[in-house]
Order: sequence, then C-alpha cells, then structure tokens
Amino acid sequence: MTARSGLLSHIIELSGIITLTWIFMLLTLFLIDKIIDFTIMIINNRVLANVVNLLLAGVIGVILLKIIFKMIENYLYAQLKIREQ
Amino acid sequence: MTYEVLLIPIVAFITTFMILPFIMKYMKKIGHVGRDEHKPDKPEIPESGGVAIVLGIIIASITAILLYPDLWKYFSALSMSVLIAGIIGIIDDFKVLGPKIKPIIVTLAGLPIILLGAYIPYLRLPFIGNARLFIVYPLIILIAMSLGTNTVNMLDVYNGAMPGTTLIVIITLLIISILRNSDIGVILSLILLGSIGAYLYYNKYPAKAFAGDVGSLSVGAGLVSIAIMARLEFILVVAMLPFILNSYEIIFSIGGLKERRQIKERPTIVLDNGTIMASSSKSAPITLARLVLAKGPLKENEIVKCFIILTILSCILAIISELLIVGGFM
Repeated sequence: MTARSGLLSHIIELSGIITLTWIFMLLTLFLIDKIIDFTIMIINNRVLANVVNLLLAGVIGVILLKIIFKMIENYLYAQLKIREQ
Repeated sequence: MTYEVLLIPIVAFITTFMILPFIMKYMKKIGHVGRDEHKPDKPEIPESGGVAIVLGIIIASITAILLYPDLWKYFSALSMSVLIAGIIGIIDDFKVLGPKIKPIIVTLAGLPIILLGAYIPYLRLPFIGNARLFIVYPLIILIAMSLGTNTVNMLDVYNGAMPGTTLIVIITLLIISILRNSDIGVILSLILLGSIGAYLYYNKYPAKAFAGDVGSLSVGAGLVSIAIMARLEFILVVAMLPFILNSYEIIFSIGGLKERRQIKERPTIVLDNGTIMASSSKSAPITLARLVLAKGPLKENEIVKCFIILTILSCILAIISELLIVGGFM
C-alpha cells in the first residue's frame, strides 16, 4: 500500500467517525422527540414538562458524548499500537 | 437583494488584506511574535493578525448597514459580538487569561444579540421541528458563544487550518441561506467570507501571520452570531463537527479546561525532516491532528488538507441536515 492510498483509507476511516457521530446526533434527536411526546402526555404542567425534557436531553447528550469519546480514544490507541508494531 | 450585495465581501476582503501587513509590521516591531512550532527552524511569526479580521468585519458591517438600513440590528449585533470577542482575545494575547476565566468572559460576546433582540427563540431541529425555548434561548446564546469561540481557538494550531476550514463552513452557511432565501444569512456570511478569505492569504502554509486569540475568538463569535441570527444553529454544529470533536476530545483527555502552556505532553512531535508525528503517550491530549497522524507522520500542509477534507464532509452532512429539517421530518 502506498503512503497516499494509506492516507486516503485513513481519511475515509475518520470520515466514518464523523458520519457515525452525525447519525448518533440524529438518533438522539429522534429519541428526544419521542420523549417530548411522552412527557407532555404524562406531565400536565407544560413548564415542568419542558424542564424535564431539557434535563433528559442533557443526560442523553452526555451519554452520547461519552460513547463517542470512548470510540475515538479506542480507535486512536489501536492505530498507534499498529504503528508501533 | 441585488448585485450590490457583492460590495460587502469586497469591502471586507480589501480592508483585512490592506490592514494586515501594517499590523504584522507593528507586531514585529513591538516583539509580539510567536514561534511556528511545526517547522524545523521554528521561525518567528507576527501574532494578533486577527485584529485585521475584526476591522474587516466591522467596516463591512457598516457598509451593510448603509446598503440595507432595515437590517441594521443584525449587522450591528455581528460587529459588536466580533468586537467584544476580539477585545477579549487581544487581552489574552498580551496578558494570558486563565483557562477557566476565558470561556466565561467570552460569553459577553453574546450580549449584543440578546440586547438588540436579533434572534428568534426557536431552535430548528430535525425530527423535533421548531423547539420553542423562550426563557432558555438567551442562555443558549451565551453558552454557544463560549463553546463556539473556544472550539475555533483550539483548531488554530497549524498554518491555514483555522481560516481554511472556517471558510468552508461559511460557504456552507451561505449556500443554505441562499436556498432558504434568507437575506440576513447571506449578508452576514458574505461579511465573514471576505474578511477570512483575505486572512487566509497571509496564514496559508507557510504562514506570514498568526491570528492570535483575537482572530480565533472573533471568527468563532462571528460564526455563532450568523448561526443564531440566521437560524442555522443545528447546521453550524454539524458543519463544525470535526472542530467540536477536536475540542471535546482535548478537554476530556486532559481532564478539564487547561491553558496550552499547562499541558506538559504535546500531542504531536516535529521530526528532523519537517514532518509531524503523533505522540504515542497516553497522557498527551487527544486532538484531531493526532487522529489524522495516527497511521504515520505527515507534513503540516498535508494535515491541514486532511482537516479541510473532513470539514467538507461535515458540511455535506450539514446540507443533508438542512434537507431533513425542511423536508417533512419536522
């Protein structure tokens, strides 16, 4: 494999990480949309429902970020390990 | 809107292009220079060239007010936000602000948008549609200003990386604004396009000028301002995904907000042949550059090319996101 084709395949892998993150974001929004419908249905107070929705969105966001961070960290160290060998 | 709108980016470009050489000369004279760490000979480059970006944006905003007086509050909000971020940046360039203080102070750049009421408190999101956030939205503006400015700041490490990638993001915002018939979005994007385009000429590899925090913070403030005023918040987040991942990975891998000088292990190492290699140390921060270099050393301009390719991809995803928002997924 030439250096150029190696770099190209690496960029494709990194593009995959970004695309995956984007898909995660869309899935999160889809999930939040469903949660909003559910909280509005069970909580009669609209302000309270909004607060609950925002908190849930925050929690889901943090979990998502943690998953992405772990994924990138594992990818980086796996690549560095291959390079060292 | 007619062809006269093209006068705005031209004014921004000429102002930044003409002023920057004088700023470079002045910074060199007073000894305000930074070492280009990614070159084997580590040359001294004038810092705080971003002052020219700020001036370019302000002069172009004044031109926009003269051409489109009805939209004055949007142009005023943009120029004031950029100016506030620029002032904070120049203070940081000369007298280093703490890593925890800077993200708090820079939220002030969001105040002109709030005080002038140049926003609509609805977030446009795929699937959810218009999320009504009357009370929370001003707070979101302040947080977004802090995150956006620092995200751009963290990317400004390699020659041409910051202006090159942000220019692609601005072109994306411009395309979406044209598709949406948003005059505000088009004009605001053109203001930044002209100014950053001129700065790229001086910062491209090998750099003749560094933006400094004055440049990176003001460009970040400009981008966030456009996103808020033209209702492109989610689009900007997607378009800036590589930068956001970069700043997020740095913060998490070093265990919080730290000044560059406080980080002992560098993420990359400059080799004798001028190429840059990723550090294999687990205590070094995880950066986008380190990810790009994970498979082997590259030249500085090759790293920036990778950044640009990744930004183009994220901007394509941003355009798809816009189609999801308007295409019946609301």
